[in-house]
Order: sequence, then C-alpha cells, then structure tokens
Amino acid sequence: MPHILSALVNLNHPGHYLHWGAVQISVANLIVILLMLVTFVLALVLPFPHGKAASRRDAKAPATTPTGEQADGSTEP
Amino acid sequence: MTVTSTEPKVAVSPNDRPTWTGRFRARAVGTFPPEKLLPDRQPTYVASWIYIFGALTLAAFGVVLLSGAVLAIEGPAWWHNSSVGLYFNSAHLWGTELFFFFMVIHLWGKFFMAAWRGRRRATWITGVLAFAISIATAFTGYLSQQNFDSEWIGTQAKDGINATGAGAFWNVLNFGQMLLWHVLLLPLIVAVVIGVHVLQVRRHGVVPPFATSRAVAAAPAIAGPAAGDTGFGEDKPAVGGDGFDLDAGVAGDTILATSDPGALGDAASNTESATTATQEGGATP
Amino acid sequence: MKTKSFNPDRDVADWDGPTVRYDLFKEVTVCFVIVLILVAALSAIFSSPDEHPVTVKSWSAADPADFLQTAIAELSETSATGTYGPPYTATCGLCQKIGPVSLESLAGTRIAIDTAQDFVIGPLLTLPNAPALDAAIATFKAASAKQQASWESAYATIAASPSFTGSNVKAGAYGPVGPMMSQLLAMARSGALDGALLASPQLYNTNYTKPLLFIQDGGYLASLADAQNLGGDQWGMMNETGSYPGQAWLWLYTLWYQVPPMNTSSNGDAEVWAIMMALTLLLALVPFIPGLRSIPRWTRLYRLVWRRHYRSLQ
Repeated sequence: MPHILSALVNLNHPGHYLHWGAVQISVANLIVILLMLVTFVLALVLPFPHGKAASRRDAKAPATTPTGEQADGSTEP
Repeated sequence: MTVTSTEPKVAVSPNDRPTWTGRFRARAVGTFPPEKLLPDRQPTYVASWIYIFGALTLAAFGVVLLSGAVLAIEGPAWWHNSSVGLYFNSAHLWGTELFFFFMVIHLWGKFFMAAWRGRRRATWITGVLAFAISIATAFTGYLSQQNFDSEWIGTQAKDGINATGAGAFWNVLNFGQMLLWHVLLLPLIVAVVIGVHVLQVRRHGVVPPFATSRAVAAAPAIAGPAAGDTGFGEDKPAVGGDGFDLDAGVAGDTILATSDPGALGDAASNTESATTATQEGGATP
Repeated sequence: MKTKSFNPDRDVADWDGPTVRYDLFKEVTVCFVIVLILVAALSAIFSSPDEHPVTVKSWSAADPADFLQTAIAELSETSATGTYGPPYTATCGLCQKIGPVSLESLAGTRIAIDTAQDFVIGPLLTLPNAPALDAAIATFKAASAKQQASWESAYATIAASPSFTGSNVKAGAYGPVGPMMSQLLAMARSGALDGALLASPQLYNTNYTKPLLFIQDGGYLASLADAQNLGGDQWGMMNETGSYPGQAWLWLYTLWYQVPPMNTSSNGDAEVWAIMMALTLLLALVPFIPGLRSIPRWTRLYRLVWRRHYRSLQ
C-alpha cells in the first residue's frame, strides 16, 4: 500500500531558480504562473459550444416569479 | 414599462402582526425567488469558457474542505507517519493550489468584464474579501504543518504581523491557536463570504456585456438607485430598460465614451461614437 | 424616481434579451469531478513536501557554535527576541512604526518572554542531581548586573571566534556562565531542552512560542532556509521547500521586500503591511475608482468574451 501511494515524480530535491535582476522565481512557480496565463487565454479564445437560443418571446414565457421578475433577472416590460 | 415591486404580499391573517420569521421569509423569497436561486436558463451572452472558473474555484474549495476533513479525522500528526495521510495532505495542498489557480483566473476574467457594473459592486467586493481571507486561511494551513516549512514561515511571518500589533493577539507560533483558526474559524468565514458572493450573483445575474453606442444613444436616462446607494441595497429594476435595445446595437466596441451628467441623449457628446457606429455599417433590424 | 447619467464603467441595463437552457447543478457537478480527478492525479504524481523540522537537539548537534552563540545572547538578553520589544519584551529594541505610530507598542507585551529565565536558567534548573550546576546558577543570580554582563561578554567573545566549536572553550573569565553554557549544550543534545522549553504546568501544551523563538534567534535555521531560497530577500514568501510550487499568489506581498526603501528599512515589515492593506482596499474599491474601473473598457478584452453576443447583434 505505501508504495502505491508514494510520489511518481520526486520533487523533494533542491529547486531550480531563475534570476532576472532583482526578480527570482522558482521553476515550479513560473510553470504555475505560465499555466495560469495560458489557461486564461485559452478560456477567452476557445470556442464555446452553442446552446439553443430561445426567442425573446420564449424567454418571457410564464415561468415568472411572484415579483414579476424573469428567471434570468430581467423584468417584464 | 412599469416598475414592479420585488416584495410579494406577505400572507398573514389581517389580525396577525408580522413575525420576524414571516418578514424574513417574505424578504428572502422576494429577493431570491426559486427561479432565480436555482435557475435553469441563462442569458445568451454567457457563452465563454471564462465563465466556468467561478464554479471551478468552488469545486476546488469543496475538495480542500473534504481533504481537510480527512486530515482532521486522524489529527494533525497523522500525515507525517502514514502514506495514506501523506496522500490526503497532498490532496489538500494541490486542492489549495488549484483553488488559487482558478480563483485568480476568475478574478482576471471578472475584472476585464467589469463585472461590478449594474449594482454588482457587492459581488465584486465580496469576491476580493474571499480572496484575502483565503490567503489568510492558507497561511494558517502552512503554519499547521508541524515541519520545517511551518517553522520557517511562522518565525518569519511573526515580524510582519507583530508590526501591525495583531501579533500580540494572534500568535503565529502558537500551533493550537493557528490550527483552530485554520480548521474552524477561517474556513467558516470564507464559506460565509463565498455564500454571500454567490447569492449576489444569483440575485443580480451575470453582468451583461458592454453596450454598443447606437443602443445607448437610443436609451433614456437610466433611473438608477437613489443617491447614496452603494450597490448593497435592494434590487431595483431600471426604468427605461426596454429602450436599451441590444438587438439594435452594432457589433464592435464603440462604447458610450462619455460619463458627463446629462450626456445621455445628447447627440453632441455622442457624435464621435455615432459616427463610428455609422462607419461600422450595422443595420438596425 | 431620481435619474442619473449612464456611466458605462459603472452601469449596465438589465438584460432583456434571449436566454438559453442552463444546468447549474450539472455545471457544478462536472467541475467538481474535474477538480477531484486533477487533485487525485497531482497528489499521486507529485505528493507533497514534508521536511523535518529543526529541533534544539538537531540544531545543537549540527552547529553547536551557533547554538552557544545564541544561548549566551539569550542569557544576556541581547538576542533578537531579547531585544524585540512588544509583544515579547517591554523595551522597544526596534518597534516598527508607520510615521509616528507604533501599533506594535500600542498592542503591548502580551506574550512576555524573559529569554534569560525562559531559555537558559529555567530549563537548567529542571536538571536533576546537578548540585554544581545549581551552585553556579545561584552564583550567577546573586551577582550584580555589571558582573553578569562581564561574564556574558567574555563568553560571547570567545563563542564568536571562528575556531569556536562549542567543545573547545578556552579557560577564561566566564565565572559560572561557562559551566551553565556547557550544561545547556549537553541538555540540548540530549533532547531535554526541547522538552523543557515546551513544558507546561498543566501537562498539555500546543504553544511552541518558546522553542521557536529560541531556534530562530540563531543563524542555523536561516541558513537552511536560505539554502532553499526561502529567505525574505529571495522572494522566499512565494517559495516551497524542494522543487514544489509554492504560493504564487503572494508575489506582490513579497515583491515589496525586494525593493527600496522597504528592503533595507528597519520599519520594513510595517511598511509592506501598510502598502498591501492599501492595495487590497484599492482592489476591493475598483468599482468606485474612475480610471481604474475604465481599464476593462479601454483594453477591450471583453470583446473576446462576448464575441458571439456582438456578432448576434449584426
């Protein structure tokens, strides 16, 4: 059991650090930050699946709340 | 367009004085009707992968809580001597890394969408609060490790915290105190702040896109909240909202450029944006 | 109803347009499963760090010279803790201020530490069957402050010499301080000092203030930390032991410690905290700050987010 649960990649060795002037960053942190930036960009540019858009009339179908507000937060005209 | 009241009629017998319970229920149901609290429709403009990062952050928070609960079952020393314990400690750590990973991307997205617009300032502020308190929660977690890392972090961080005067009351070298803050007090506060944050999103909906110039030029002045409303007040519908005809807008980013008082409907101040809209050549349906 | 002008950075009309089918529970569930799988995989692949802590025992074995240099500083109350000021001692050695205000001083000495008593004399007195040591301690306590300082200074001088190893103490005018220090070293090496520092009159203790302050007063802990790039001037706040990712979200907090004037200021901690509190407030108040809240509109990144919506308007 212990062997199954031990790490496949051992990170328990001295880290590598990159230096640019006053800036110092570990390779691990740099990877995390780069991954965040890449993920952010991908989230913005990757196409999102098309849902079936309802007409405006359908959106105002009588699933209204007691207050008259729509499910999407809009109000009745 | 009529201004509809958000308050349902409280069903009480004419002879009964309103109860605290009844008043709270009326207000809660009024602010969060079921279709708003648990919607199964969303505006068509919610069509980007950036929108899932709030849910991913919440999911990571859930994994952090669950893995933390497992660690709590066996106590704070377990993970040093057990490989199962070490695995759950790893889950707790990586859950935390993912929690911040997704939260910061969520923050970036919400910033560039200016998600505070339209009485959503409380949503933004509770989000920043959740971020800050999460950092404090993670910090107490690092202090609770009972290893070299926690030793170093505690003895270093004490100087910063002592400098604020808080160190006299909040002793980062006091393991028992820090563990209790980490396991109980701070997660509770984070959960409450996240809860308020999510409820605000349910209440006001996902922020609509920036409007285009042609649509805004056609809109009357927005009858917004009374002066002094900081966005924490009641959800009031905007009068004249149907004049804000997004379908008539022009694709592109020619946003109303002016924020001068009384500028709405003022052709002179909208000249530049109107001209650009014409150049873009969109047709009004 | 009162009207006000429309500000695109602050206002937006309620949505009155079409909606699509949306499954909130499904989205949250799918996200949860995704994160669960990611965490399970990352934990299996990378595990997590767990470096053994420094104990007084391990410290005194690895670097007895540093231990004794620290111990004599504790006895003479000249160590970092001994001269700290609130919350540990009453006298401000270096009470940090913002302008004229020292919040540290205002909070008071609520975690009182007497380094001579708590780190040296008290633990030594717990040693059983040590009449010579007890006599030395009694002699030390009975001596004048000036005499004590003279003994301490002599010992500190010899301990600071490069050839000092802890076990090669030359004869000198240390008085009872010599035997006290050598007994303390032996006590540390046996592990008994760790226990004594943590001892509580009510048995149970979860407060490690004393051993941690003693350990961090020395140079050994810091040397280990510097070797792992955890030092304050190494952006250490962001880092983790080994090659693990650390706390990238602390980048801005630790940045201020690297730049003047904070990096050399004696009020550096207070200054950085003040800056970060101000910046956090600024972030929270973005919706109210003209210019700052206009950045989303100016940068036009939203065009990517809502491109389908804008296309649909054509």
